[in-house]
Formats: sequence, structure tokens, C-alpha cells
Amino acid sequence: MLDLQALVNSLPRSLQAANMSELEFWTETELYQWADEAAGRLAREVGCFVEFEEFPYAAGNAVYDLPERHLSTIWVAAAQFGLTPTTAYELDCLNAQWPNVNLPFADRWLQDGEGVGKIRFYPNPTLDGDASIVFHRTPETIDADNTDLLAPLPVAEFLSWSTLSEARMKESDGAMPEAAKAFGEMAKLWLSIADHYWGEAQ
Amino acid sequence: MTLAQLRTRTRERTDATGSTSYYTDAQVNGALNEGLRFFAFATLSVERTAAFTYTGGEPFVSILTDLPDFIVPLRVRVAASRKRLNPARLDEIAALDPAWLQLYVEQDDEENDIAEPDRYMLLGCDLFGLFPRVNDDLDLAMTYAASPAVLTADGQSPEIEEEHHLDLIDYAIWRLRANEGGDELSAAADYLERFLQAINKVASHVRAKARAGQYDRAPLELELADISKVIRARPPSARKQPAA
Repeated sequence: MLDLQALVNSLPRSLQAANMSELEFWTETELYQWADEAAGRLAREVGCFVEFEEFPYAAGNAVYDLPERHLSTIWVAAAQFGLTPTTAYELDCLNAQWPNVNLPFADRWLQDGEGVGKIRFYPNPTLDGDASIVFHRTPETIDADNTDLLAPLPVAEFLSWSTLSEARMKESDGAMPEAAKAFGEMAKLWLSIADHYWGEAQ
Repeated sequence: MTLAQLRTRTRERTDATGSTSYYTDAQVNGALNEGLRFFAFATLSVERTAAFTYTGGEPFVSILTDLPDFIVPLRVRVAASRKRLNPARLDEIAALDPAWLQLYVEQDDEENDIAEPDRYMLLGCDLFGLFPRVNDDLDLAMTYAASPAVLTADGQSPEIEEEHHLDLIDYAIWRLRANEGGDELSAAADYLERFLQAINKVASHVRAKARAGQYDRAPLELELADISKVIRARPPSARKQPAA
């Protein structure tokens, strides 16, 4: 578990301040926001936060909310049987009446046509059951009240470099574009390595 | 070399020794630890084998909860039988059997496991699963690339080969100078270049070792383009001017 409070508290030393209260051009809130944005970038670009969840589905209801902080779906099962991903266009080609097709079990899932944050099963299941979903997610918002992140320890470097890059990029007398660029490039190098270990290819 | 020696050597090179130290102990220790952790991350050179109990009945478990220093698996065995499990992706498992969630290892009449899983999955950096699933807890022997122990005591040595301890000093100098920007950062670029080249060299050795040992993962071959981008992040004043 990464202790982000310790990480953020160590950053003022890299910004020519002995501690948080002596920061001249930045605030503690900004440092947490930039760390949070970096964690979100790690989730989006590498997809290293993956979760498994189960939820019940009811007969006659084919549309459900995706889990909170869902980024992209990797795999879906209904009644413990893997479903095939599909699109509304494919189903239109298959059968124009597809929204009205009812069968005991679904065999496909789709995420288009129902708006953001929804998943639909096809055919509409006529039996109750449990669905399983494996998905990429973003971590919970990082701030002064939420400083734990379940991530490998080297993620600390990525968050530090990304946060310092943002701090040095901010328009102020503390701006240092060359330092921002240096930290930013180190963060990009780190991401390319992380993608190799935990990214899509895995 | 110990942490105290590394700190002294770093200060000698940044002209900040004794009572006139410009950098605090915490700053130098932080920079050395950052370099150490990145070195281990990019080279996968710190290897451990630990017992890991897979909770029976669960389709996936969190590996970081039990092994907080875990980076990637190198080799996974069933502890009792020494059977090696092969790495697989979820899409491979799903293609093999769409009903894999229902598929458990064989059991006898008293519901004791008599067969063992064949494959394992790591999804993202933490979610770990077995195929076929197991009903009962299963002890695994997990060989994995790890993050090194944090250097906190002056007498403590970094958990990497001694010949690479000096590389940590190179990183620490760059890291401390990067905070100052401008010409200080520019002047430290060569230290970073040397550090990244050392990483590439060690990663190359680890890749050869991983091939020979048939490990499941190997470090990334950093492209020279990636490295040069990092090193070229210098202020315009530091670029060479054309001859008059």
C-alpha cells in the first residue's frame, strides 16, 4: 500500500521549501490534485488498476449501471458464462427487433446505445442471475483525506515526477519549464516500462 | 556501500559537504531511495521467492495485499507439488473455456482437491487468478521481481549488486540538481545519462537470465530514443551554440 501522505509531504523539499507550510507558489491541495491526476493517467494509459465485481441481474431487465470508476470493460459473464462483446450496429444487422428478443440467458453484452456508464445484455434474460465483470478502473480520488493507494511501490516515482512536473509548469515565480520537462520525460519513461509490465499486452 | 557512504559521496560531488551541506540528509536519502526503486523497477533485478496462499473459492485475489513489494511474477509453482503454472491472459482463458468461472479443479468424493490448476493470470498490477479455479486454499511458491527495501539506517546497503551502488549516486545528483533547474539541471544531465545506461546494461543481463531460466517476465529494452528524450530535457541556454 502506497502512503501518499508521506509522498506528498516529501515534495516541498523538491520545491525549495522545508515543509508544506513554507511552500510559496503552490498549495498542499494542488499537490494532491496533481498526484490524483497522475494516478488517473496511470489508470487510463496503462490500465494497471483492474477489478472484478459481481452484481445481480433481474429477469426482464437488460440494462445495468457499470461499476463506479469504471474505465473500460475487459470481460463479462452472466450466470458464470462468458459473454461475447457486441455493438448495437451488429445486433441491428442480426435482427432489427433485437431489443425485444427474450431468452433465459444472455450471450452477448454491449455498451453503446444506452448512454455512458451503462451495460446491456442481449438477449434480454428471462431468468434472474448474477453477472461478473472484469474492468479497468480509476483509483479513488486522492486528497488529504484519502492517502492510501493499493499499487506497487515504484508507482511513487511516477506520482512524484508527474506532480513535480505540474508544479514547475504552473505559471508563477516558481515555474521552471526545463525542470518540468525533465520530470515529465522521466514520468513518460516510467509509463513505458509500466505498460510493458501491467498494460494491455498482459 | 552503506547509506551513509552513498550520502557522503553524493555530497562530495555536489560540493555540499560538512556543516555547509546544502542538502539535508532526508533530501539525499530520498533521492538515493528513489534511484534505487527506479533501478529495481526498470531492471527487475531484485528477485524474491515467497509463500503466497491463494484463497479457495475466489476467482481473483489481491497479490499486493500479501506481497506489498511485488512488481511482476517471474515463476509461480504449487508449493507442495512444485508444479509450475503457466502465465495466461484472461482472453486466452475465456477462449479456452467461456465457462471457466464454473470450472474448478477435480475433487474427490469428499470434495478435496485432487488436481491442481495449470495456469495463472495477473490482471493489471494486482489482480491474480488461477485456472482452473480452486475450492480450497492453495499454497503457492511465488518467485517475483520486487521493490528493494527502503534505505533508512546509515549502515544499511542497497539491495542491488555492489558494482551498481555508484549508479545510485549518479541518479541522486541529477535528482537533487533537477530541483534547482537551469544550469544546475543541465550540468547534471550526464549523471542521468550514465544512470540510464547502467539500467539498460543491467536490464540486458536480466533479460538473458530470464530467457535462460524461462522466467515469465523480463525487463523492457529501453529504446535509445526514450533515454535521449529524458536527457535532452535541458534549458535552451545549455544547448551547444554553432561555431561563429
